[in-house]
Amino acid sequence: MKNRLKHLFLACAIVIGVTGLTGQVHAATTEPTAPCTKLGATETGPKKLKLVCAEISENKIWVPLGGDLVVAIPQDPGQLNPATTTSGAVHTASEMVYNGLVGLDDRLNPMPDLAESWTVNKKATVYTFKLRKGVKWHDGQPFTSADVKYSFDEVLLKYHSRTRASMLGAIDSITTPNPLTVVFKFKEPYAPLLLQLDVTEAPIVAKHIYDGTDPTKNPRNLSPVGTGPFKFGSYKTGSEIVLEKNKNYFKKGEPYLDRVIMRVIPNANTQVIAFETGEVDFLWGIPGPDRARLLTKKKVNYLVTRRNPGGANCMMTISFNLQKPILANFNVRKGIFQALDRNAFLKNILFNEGSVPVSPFSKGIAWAWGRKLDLPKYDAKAANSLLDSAGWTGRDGSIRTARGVYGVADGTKLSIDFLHFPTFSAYAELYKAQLKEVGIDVRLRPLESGPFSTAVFTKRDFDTNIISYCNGTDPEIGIRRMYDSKQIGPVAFSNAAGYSNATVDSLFQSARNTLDLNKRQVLYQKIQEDLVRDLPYVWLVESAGTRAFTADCGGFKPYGLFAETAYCQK
Amino acid sequence: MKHVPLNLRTRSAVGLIVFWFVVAGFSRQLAPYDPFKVSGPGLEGPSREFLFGTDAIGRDLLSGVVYGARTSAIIVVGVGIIVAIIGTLLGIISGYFGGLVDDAIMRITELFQVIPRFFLIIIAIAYFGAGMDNLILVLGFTSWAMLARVVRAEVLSLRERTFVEAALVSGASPWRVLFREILPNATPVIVVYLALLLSQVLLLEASLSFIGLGDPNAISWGYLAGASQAYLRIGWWLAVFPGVAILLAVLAINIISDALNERIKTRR
Amino acid sequence: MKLPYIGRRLLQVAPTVSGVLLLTFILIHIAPGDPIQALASGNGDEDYYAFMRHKFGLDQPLINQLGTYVGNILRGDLGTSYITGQSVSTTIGERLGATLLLTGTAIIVSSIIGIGLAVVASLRSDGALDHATNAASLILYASPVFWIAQLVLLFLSLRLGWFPVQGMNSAGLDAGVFGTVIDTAWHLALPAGVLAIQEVAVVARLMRSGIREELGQDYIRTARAKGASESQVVVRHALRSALLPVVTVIGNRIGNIFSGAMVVELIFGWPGLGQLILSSSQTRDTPVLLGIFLLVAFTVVLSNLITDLSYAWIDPRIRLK
Repeated sequence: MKNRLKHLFLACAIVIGVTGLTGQVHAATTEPTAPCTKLGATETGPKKLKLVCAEISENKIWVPLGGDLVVAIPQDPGQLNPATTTSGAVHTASEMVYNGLVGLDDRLNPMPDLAESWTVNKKATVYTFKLRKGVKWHDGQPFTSADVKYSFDEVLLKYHSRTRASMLGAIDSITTPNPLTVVFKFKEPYAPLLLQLDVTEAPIVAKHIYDGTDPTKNPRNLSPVGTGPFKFGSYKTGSEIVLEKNKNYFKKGEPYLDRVIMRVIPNANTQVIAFETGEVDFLWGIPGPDRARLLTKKKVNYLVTRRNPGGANCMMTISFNLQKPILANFNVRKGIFQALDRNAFLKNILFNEGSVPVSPFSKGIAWAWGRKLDLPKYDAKAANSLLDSAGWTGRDGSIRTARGVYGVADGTKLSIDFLHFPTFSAYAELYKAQLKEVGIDVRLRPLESGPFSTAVFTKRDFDTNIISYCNGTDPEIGIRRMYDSKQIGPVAFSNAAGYSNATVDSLFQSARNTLDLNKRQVLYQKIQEDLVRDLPYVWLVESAGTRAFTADCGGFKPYGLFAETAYCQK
Repeated sequence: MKHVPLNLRTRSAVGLIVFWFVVAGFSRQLAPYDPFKVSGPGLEGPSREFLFGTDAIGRDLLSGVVYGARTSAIIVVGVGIIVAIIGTLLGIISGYFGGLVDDAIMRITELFQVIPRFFLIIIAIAYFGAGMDNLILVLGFTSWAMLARVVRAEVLSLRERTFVEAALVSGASPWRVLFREILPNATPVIVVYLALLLSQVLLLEASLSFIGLGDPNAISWGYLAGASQAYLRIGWWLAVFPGVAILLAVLAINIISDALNERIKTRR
Repeated sequence: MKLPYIGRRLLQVAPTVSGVLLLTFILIHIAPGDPIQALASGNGDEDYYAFMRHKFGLDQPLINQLGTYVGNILRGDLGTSYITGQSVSTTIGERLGATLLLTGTAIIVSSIIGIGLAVVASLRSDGALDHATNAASLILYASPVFWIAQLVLLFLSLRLGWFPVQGMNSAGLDAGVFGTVIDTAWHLALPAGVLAIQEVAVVARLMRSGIREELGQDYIRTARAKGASESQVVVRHALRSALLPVVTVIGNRIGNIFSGAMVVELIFGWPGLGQLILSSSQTRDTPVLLGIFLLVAFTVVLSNLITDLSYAWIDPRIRLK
């Protein structure tokens, strides 16, 4: 039911958008008409904070005004301009200083942010955004359409690697007929735009700050000026970033907190201890081993989400290098698939934070994931006989050897390597352990992201590897790159398997040009049926994120402007 | 050589090292399970079935520690041999001959000494991949500088002493003086330094694993101790057993080096 | 005699440091992978890669890149971080203070305590204190530093609440100069303590074995025979000579301690160079990495010079040439 709802919402958004019947007009804030709900322990808070009625996720509640929120971040961002990079560290620390043109609500529906309404022509080639009136930069300068054009032309389409990769080739021009209107013209129908304009994908920066400079080196990247709910306060490298309430924020009444203080704490154990002593109020994630222990604590609240600063709907995926003779054999791939107990990965590594995929696409893209697909099940016996039939034989418990395998000398041991980031070594160890059970020897090769990308995508020097592929909010954004034969190449996190299937290629292309969501779903279903027939990857586990925060605080969003409506009563 | 009776402490230290190397030699026969296989449920505390408990994915920790003895021994011995040869030779030559030779060697030594070793190892391993061979080579070829300097300093000091001067005056060849008079006298310093270094190597390898640069293919004590830190509060056994193995090995090495030191001194 | 010596040694600094730079430069550049991939963090297309490579001059042949880099260094420009776009000297400068504070405190505290313990222990040879010091320093030295650090955190911070868990200052601190100093000291106690504990072990062990050895020497016997008291013998004579290896060790640790501090900085969220080098090696931020190597190389060369000078001061039998 929920999924269908989500589907419906997204469909409406896009359909209304692209048919261009009306420009949707959203009111910025509504006066509370329904009565406000009382927050649990409001009166018992030690500090008597003034209460205001706030609308949080469609509920109206009384929340305290003021106070500090201390957030643990694992890495120093180095700079605070999210438009020049896709670095998760920079985005986590700086997004709340900025806004996008269009926000996304909990169900991924486009919501007004800097743009208060928009219209789209029938062919989805022209998008017209009407900007909010009276918005000011933190330094008092007025925000206009020139800022939007500058942000895209000079910053986002150059340095924001995701936005550049998806939009630069498609866009024709960005024009500003007047200070409150921006028009995006595309060379061909471009459906996903409204999902790519939030503060993560396209934060809007101030032209008067960056014009004429190299935006990646501008000193103001260390003391940023934005339009967002919080102003830059101070930045002590490696230590903390203080954001202060923007009293003139265009969303009336928000934010409720006085300050958000981000503390750089690289070690996950230390983060948890600091959280337990109360030095920190908010954690972006709980290390797996601590999950069960923390989840039972009364003073802790949670927000479980598939959306993360690094991308939405991420799936841990094992790639087979299809160019290697051993793995070109379907029976070997299926054998490995069936030798892997994916539930053990979920339980022992993710500590049940996430789920086991039932289709190649993430279930987070509610309308696109494949239904009734027959993914190979964990079955060591079946795995053994598949490997036997592929010509890899061996006695129980020993490593298999080749007999009559195409492209492999007889007597060769069944030994494959497995490339992984050092942070994924738990997956690697379990993979090695489970494949050993069916007589496959795995050589682990932990590599940092740079050398990893070179080995996998440039040199294609690997047998198997593991990648966290974030499927994104639309298959076009995060999934197509994994299967499109044109995306086999030196670009990081493209088609790692080297999968090439003309039918799948053309289905993806038609899905992109199809605007009706139901028709798109049919196409994606067909693609996924093909993928399950070919098994270029093992769709291992879908990971989720758990934000943990003290029970004194609430009102968080999963990422982006995560504390826009947050409150704390301490 | 005067015989100095070994005290209890030294004897147990020697016993420990012998035990360590026996375990290392017969790890395959001694380990109850395959340490790379899932043998039981994850995160099971010590029991009769799993004496040291199991790790997060259900591998037997006792088997891991037994195999780790082998890996750690290989690392320590490998690094020790490389460092002892390079460091001692260069240090003695440099200190004894002085002049241009000394200058040249000291410049090279300085080069290797000023390279921040730990950082270099991190970069080398992060970029070229974690592996026992990489670790031994990088550690071996970057750790000798300090030994060379210590040996050189000792030689400098010894060279001025009466017995060396006497030997030289009496017409002994420089090489003879070097190996008959100076090298034996420099040995305590070499031994003390090597012991310090090798125990450091065990710890350093653990630190590398702690920051995520351990070699998952070769279970070593350092790898087990470093990787277990995330489980410190829900699986104490994971941190304690490999940690104690390291602690005992380092202790034993140091105690033996102390004892060796004493013996050599009494001989002097 | 000494001044020309110092001058000559200073002249040798340049080749040594350039050697280090060249070695690291080559090592980093022949390794697979490049910073663009880290910068794109899993996104982007070939066009973006080419654009950024060109921007950073990474499309040039290695020898040209080296030439440009050396040219900039000679002009005193350490370059710009690929990842943050900030100048490398500022980036390092901002972290240096924190690391110096941490390591400096640890070195001073551990040297004083370590030498003190060794002297006291030698005076009462084979006494209870001797054994206790020896045992404690052996065990502390033998424990992985992250073990000690985490246990200290769990016990002193979480259980007892005596010390803050992480950071150099309290969150959002705004408390005048005096308040900041107190707050910093309070935050410094645990990380510096953990770092110092292991240093104490090293210094005390080495010092003690040095003193013992010296006590057996001829000149000490002569001193004793002349009627010097035991404490005079230890402090005036044995201590001086025994300081030789210790000075070497402390001198060397000034370079090594940066690395020792790395794990401590990570665990206690201390905003120093350790954190920076780890994140820079992950993102392959070559200019920052080379900058740090350069800095550490300089520091170590200078501390070696000081070590050698103190050799001559401590043991007049050594002649500087």
